[in-house]
Amino acid sequence: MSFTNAPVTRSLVLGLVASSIAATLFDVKHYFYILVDLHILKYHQSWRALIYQLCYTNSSEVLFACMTLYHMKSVERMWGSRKYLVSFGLPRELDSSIYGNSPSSS
Amino acid sequence: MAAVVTPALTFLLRPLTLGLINYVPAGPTGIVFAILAQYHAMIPHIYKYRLALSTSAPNDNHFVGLTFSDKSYRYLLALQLALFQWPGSLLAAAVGWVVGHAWRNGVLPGSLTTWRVPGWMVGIRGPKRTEEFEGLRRRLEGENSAAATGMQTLGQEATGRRRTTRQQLFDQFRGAL
Repeated sequence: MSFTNAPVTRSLVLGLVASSIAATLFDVKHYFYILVDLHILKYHQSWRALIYQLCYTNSSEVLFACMTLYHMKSVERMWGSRKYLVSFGLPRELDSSIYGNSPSSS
Repeated sequence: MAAVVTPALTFLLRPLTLGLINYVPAGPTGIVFAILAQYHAMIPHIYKYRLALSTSAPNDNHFVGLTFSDKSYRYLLALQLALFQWPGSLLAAAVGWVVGHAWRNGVLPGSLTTWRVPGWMVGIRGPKRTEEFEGLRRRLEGENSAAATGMQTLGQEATGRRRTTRQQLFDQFRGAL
């Protein structure tokens, strides 16, 4: 019962906790959520759609998300890390040039 | 994928619901639920238990109560995650769930589901080039000595294994390193 053979899950959990703590410490939480009428329609801040998934804004959500992700580690073990990472890699359209296109999993 | 769909859907739903759905909370709720959909489909439960709602003797034919499994706790955690900042987070969770099942059942175009990230991103490291050659060389030597008869083995000991002293030392301590 650990993060053995699940490196993506491990870095995801650690990254989520770290980014949420960092957002609190540096007081930048207001960049991470979207109000459609104000942010998108009025100020056209479409970059918010790219970064809003990076952290949670309250600690209980971080806790529950991390517990859920921790239980999902068996999915990563069955799929292999390379396939598993794609499922969150998809939104990052900017980095689409780095995806390999080999058909094999694992 | 869920990350792109959620704000777009919120954008579309806002006029329909008269501004009720206007807020997309921070956090990867959609991603968590997309993975949870895979979990739901892939992982079988280990045990089940039933919670009786009546005090009558348990009877398989007409049972009043609820059936849970060991996976229920995990769904309960995720459900709380979905309800924390609703309706925004609930919408994100629903989108994530739908996208996860669409991924699984082949609704998405096929090229999307065969994408893989390269191995270096997840820390997989192939064997080094020199180690590959070293393995080949060892196997070749093994075959030679296996095929050799007694006389040839004597000569081969002198000529076949032509390695430098440094290489011999390295091979000697390879297991310890």
